[in-house]
Amino acid sequence: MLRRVTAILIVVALTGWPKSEAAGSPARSSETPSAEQGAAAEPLVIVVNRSNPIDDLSMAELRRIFLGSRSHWANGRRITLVMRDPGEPERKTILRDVCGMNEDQLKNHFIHGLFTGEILLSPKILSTPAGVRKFIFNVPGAIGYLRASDLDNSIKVVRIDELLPDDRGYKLRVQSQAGN
Amino acid sequence: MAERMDLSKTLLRIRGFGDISLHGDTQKGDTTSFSLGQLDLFVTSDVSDKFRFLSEIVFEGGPDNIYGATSGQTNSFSVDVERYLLQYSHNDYFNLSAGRGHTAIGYYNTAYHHSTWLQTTTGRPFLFEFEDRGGILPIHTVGVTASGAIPSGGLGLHYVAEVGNGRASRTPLVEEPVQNEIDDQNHKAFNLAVFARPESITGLQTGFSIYRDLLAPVNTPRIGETILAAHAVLIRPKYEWLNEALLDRHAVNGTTSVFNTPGFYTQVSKQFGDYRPYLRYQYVNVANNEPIFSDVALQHGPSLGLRFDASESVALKLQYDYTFLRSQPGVNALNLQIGFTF
Repeated sequence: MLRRVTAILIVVALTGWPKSEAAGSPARSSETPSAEQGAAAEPLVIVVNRSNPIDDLSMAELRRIFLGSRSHWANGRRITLVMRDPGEPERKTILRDVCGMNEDQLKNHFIHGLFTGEILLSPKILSTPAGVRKFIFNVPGAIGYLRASDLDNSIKVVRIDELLPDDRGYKLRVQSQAGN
Repeated sequence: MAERMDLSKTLLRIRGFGDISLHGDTQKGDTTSFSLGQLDLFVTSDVSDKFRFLSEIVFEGGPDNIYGATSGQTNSFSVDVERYLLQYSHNDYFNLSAGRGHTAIGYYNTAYHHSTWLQTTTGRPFLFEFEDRGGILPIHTVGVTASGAIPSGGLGLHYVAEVGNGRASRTPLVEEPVQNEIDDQNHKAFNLAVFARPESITGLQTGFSIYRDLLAPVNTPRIGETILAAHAVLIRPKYEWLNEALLDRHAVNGTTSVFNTPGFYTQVSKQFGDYRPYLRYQYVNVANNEPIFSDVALQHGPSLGLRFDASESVALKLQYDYTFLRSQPGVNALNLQIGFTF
């Protein structure tokens, strides 16, 4: 009996989890956005300080950074995470497509991580694109996100999976109703 | 150049955790009672870009229970500094901390500390009970810990290496089991843990640890303690499945006597909206003539419960436990708990 229950649990764990519940992983697939999504969706750009030598991040690395499990850049500088206010479409895009979590789950994740000591720092919350630009310009280890239309030359754009925001197949796009 | 102190960044941040319970069971001598749980103040401060301070200051009621020996007054509160760590973070591959923390034995002990709100269930598994609540493991260590990632690509390997005072063994049982100031011997306890968080399976962590110490009870030969632990856990926001197994081995020096204490637990839960039903089965089996913790004996049984998140910061839990005991009647217990963070 115990063997049968164990076998069922293993099978369910490895194969049977509904995709929509895999909130620990990004909800959207890695395919390009559909035509109707693409038409309404503006690229969401990952930005860092201009002094940061990083040029390219994989989606998996980006996820580790936004969940606080990677805390340092390769040069040893501590990563400072910049997030927009809860409810902003840009933030919803990051939560859905990078973190694979909703607001409550992200909050619990950070409380838990800070409590265990695995996460060193809570994200810095900023309410405007101008605030994000200014903060990242001033803080060498900072990383954040902006709509492509909010970019300027004071900060540096990072490729995601070797793609720039204008490239076909770029995954991060702000939906007009980025749901959670 | 030495790092400069930025006074605007060294502010203390305090988060609190607490719980209040109504508990009743069929154990002879127990009464149904409302209980104040641990009031836990989690205090952190960024001392500089590389250094950070972390502590947990816990106010808790009731007498201590150390290997079955009780001390202290019922209904009085005392203060314990449960964690007290200065952490140095060099990069993702090398972090160092000094002070008092939770020993990296298995998974539960470093994933959950002194807050019930963060835990799905109303309490910790028997195996990971605190030393002053009848627990058998060296839950806390005072010493130095190195930890970090191991370059391993998508495998996500990490290590933890610890050296510390270990658990008190020479002093009477009713005294503080965590050696905060003075070790009762020169020998130090060592612990090494390695775990993997593979990128391909989100939420999966598997790992093992080995802990080694030398205990020196009064009027008996020294006892070598080796604790082997392994775990496989799958944690995603909507479900969790925790599995841990452990072997605590006591070998009496100069004899062939070896006492093996096996233990395990498995716990599964799934979120349905604000509700999370859960099930845990746990087991620990201590030989009657075990030289260090003979009072524990055999304990095993299921726990069944429901957690309801009444708000983002408040959780209500109802848990039923049945515990089989060696040579004694089994114990039924019901616990209603409200856990919160503030």
